[in-house]
Amino acid sequence: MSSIDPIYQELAAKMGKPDLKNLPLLLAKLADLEEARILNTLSASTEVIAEKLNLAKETVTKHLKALFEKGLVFQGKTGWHLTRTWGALHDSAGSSDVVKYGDVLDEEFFRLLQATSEEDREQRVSDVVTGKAPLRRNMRVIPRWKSIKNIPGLLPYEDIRQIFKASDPIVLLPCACKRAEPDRECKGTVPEVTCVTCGRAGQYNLNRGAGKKLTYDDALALFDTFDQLQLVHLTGNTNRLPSLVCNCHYDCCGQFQVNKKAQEVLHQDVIVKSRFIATIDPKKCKGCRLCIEKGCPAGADTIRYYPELGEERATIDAEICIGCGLCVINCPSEARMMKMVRAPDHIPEPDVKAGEAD
Amino acid sequence: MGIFHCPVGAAFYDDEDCIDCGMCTAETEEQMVEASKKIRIFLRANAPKPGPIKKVTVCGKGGVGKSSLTTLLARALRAEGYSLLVLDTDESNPGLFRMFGFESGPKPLMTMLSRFASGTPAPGTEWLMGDTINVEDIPSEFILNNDNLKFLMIGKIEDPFQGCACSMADIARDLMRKLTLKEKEIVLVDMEAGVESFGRGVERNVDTVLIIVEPSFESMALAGKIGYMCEGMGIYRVRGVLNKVPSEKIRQRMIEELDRKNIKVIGTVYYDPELSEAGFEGRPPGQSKAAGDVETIVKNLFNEVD
Repeated sequence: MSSIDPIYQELAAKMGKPDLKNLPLLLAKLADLEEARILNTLSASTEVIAEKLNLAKETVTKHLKALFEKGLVFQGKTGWHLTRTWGALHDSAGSSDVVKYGDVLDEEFFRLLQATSEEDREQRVSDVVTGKAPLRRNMRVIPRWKSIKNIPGLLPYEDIRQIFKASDPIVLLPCACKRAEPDRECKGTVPEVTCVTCGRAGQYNLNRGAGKKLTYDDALALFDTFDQLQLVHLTGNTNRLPSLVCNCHYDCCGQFQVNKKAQEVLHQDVIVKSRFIATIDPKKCKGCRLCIEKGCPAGADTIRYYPELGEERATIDAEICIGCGLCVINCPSEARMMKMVRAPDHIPEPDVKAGEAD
Repeated sequence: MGIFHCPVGAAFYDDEDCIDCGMCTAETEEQMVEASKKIRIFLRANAPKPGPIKKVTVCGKGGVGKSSLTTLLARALRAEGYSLLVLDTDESNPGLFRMFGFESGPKPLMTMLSRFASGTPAPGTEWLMGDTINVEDIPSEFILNNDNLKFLMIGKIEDPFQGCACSMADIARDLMRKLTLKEKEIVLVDMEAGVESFGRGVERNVDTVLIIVEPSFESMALAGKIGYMCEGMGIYRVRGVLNKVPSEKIRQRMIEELDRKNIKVIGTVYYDPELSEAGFEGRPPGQSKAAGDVETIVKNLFNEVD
C-alpha cells in the first residue's frame, strides 16, 4: 500500500486534499502511471501534453478519453483540466460506467471511495472545530412535489415539475454514495441509479457515457416509483435552477452522513431544510404507526398521547422535520399536510457565502 | 463542493459557462467571500436589460411618504394615459384607500387564505392558481374601481394562528408574478416599510423599484440596503426619489450620498406643506407643487426607458 508512486500524492494535493490518506490510493486505482503523468501536466492541450511527456498524440488522446469517461479530467474552453476538487471526483468517478471500466471501478475502488469519503467527512467537521474552514451547507431538501402541489407561492427551484420542465437535458445517473456502500440498508428496496443531473451537468454525463437521457414525462414517472421509498430529494442550495437532484437515503448518503457527524460534534445541520414542515391532524390520524416504522427519514415522527382524544396518535417534531414531504404523500389516513414555514430568503442567492447558518 | 453545485451552472471548471470565480475550490472563509464578489460582479454585468415599465414598487423607510407619493404617482401616470392597478401590501398602514379617495377598502386578499388551509384549492380561488392572471380575472369583490384606477389590498393577519407571516407575501408574490398586463397598464405596489418584504421575494417579479428617500441618515442607509438587495435579485431599474427636500444644498448632498450607494436619483419632491396636511387628514392631496414634481419624475422615468 505504501508502494504507490509519489505522483498520486501530488495529484491529491492539486485537488485541495493533501491530507487525505486514501485519496492517493484511490487515484492510483483510477489512473495508471502513464495516465497519472498526463494528469500531472494539466491544465494543458493534447499537443502540449504529448510534447512534454514525449508521447504520441494518439496515445495521449486515447488516455484523455478514458480519463474523461472515468471522471478525472474535463475539456474546457482552454484545454484539458484535472478534476478540481475531491467532491467533484467523488461524484463523477463514482457514477462512471462500471461495465466499460470494470477492471478499474471494482469492489476495491468503491471501498477506497467510501474510505476517502469517511476521512473527508471527519476532516470537514474537525476543520470547523479548529476554525480552519467554515461549514459549507451546499445541499437543501426539496419536498416531494405531490405533497406541496396545492400550496400557493411555490418557487420554481423547489418544485420538481418546474425544475424538470426548465432542464435540458435531464440525465439519470448512478448514485456514487449508494455504490460506495455495498452493505447499504436500502439495498433491497432502493435502486442504485437515482441521481438526476440537469442542463450542462447532464450533458457532461451524457458525453462521458455515464448517464441516460430522460424526457420530462420519464423523469416524473421515475420519481413516482420513489413514492413509497424512504428517499429525500436533495439539491444545490441556491435560488437558481439546480443542476442536480439527488434521491438520498439517510443511511448511505454522504450528505446525511456528514450531517449526522456535524449534529453530533457541532450541533449544527449540514443539510438545509426545505421551506416546509409536515403537520398532522390528530383527529384524522388513526395511529397506524406507518410514519414511524417506515416513514420519516429524519426521525421526526413519534407517537404521543392526546388527552383530548383519549388515544395515542402520531406527532411531528417540527424542529427535526426536514420538510421532505414523504409522510404527507404516504399517510393512509390523509392526516398530514405540508405547511410553508420559511420565507423565500431561506434559499440564498448563489453568491451568499456558504457556511451561514439560519 | 462537487461539480454539480456551480453557482452559474457550469458543469466543471473552464466549461463554457465557467467564470473562474473560484467557488468550487474555495476552502477558507476568505476564499469564499472573494469568490462571492466575483459572482456578484458577474451577475450584475450579465443582467438582462430591463424591459418596459410594467410592475413598479414604491418602498422606503417608514414615514418617508410612500403612500402620499404613491397617490401622486398614480395620478401622474393616469394623466399620461395609463390605467393603474394599485396593490397595497403595507399592513401597518391600512388607510391608503382613503388617500385614493375611496370611502372604504376592498375585501382584503388575505381573506382567501383560510380557503387554502385544507390543502386543496377551494371554489373561488381558481383565478389565483392558473399560470397567468389578467386584471379582469380578479373577482370584483377584491377590487375598488374608479376611472382607470383599480385598488387591491393584501390585508393583514387578524388571527395569529392563521399561518406564518409569509403567507401574505406569498399571495402578493404569486399575484405579481402571474399578472399579465396589457399595453398602457401598470401595477403600482405600495410596499410595507423596511426591507423585510424583500426577503420574502415580492420584488422579484417587479421591473422597477422606486426608493423614497427623505433627508435622514436612516432613510438613506436603508435605501443603500434596498439597492443592494435589488441588485442581488436582478432588478436593475432601481431609482431613488428624494422627498421632503428643504433646500437645493440638501438635495445635492443627498444625490452625492446615494451615488456612493450606487443609486441613481430620478427626481426630487421638495417639501410641501399640502402633502403633509393631506397625509395628516388621510385625504387625497390636492393640486400642489409636489404633484408637479411627481409629474416630472414620471416623465423622467419614461424618457429614460426610451
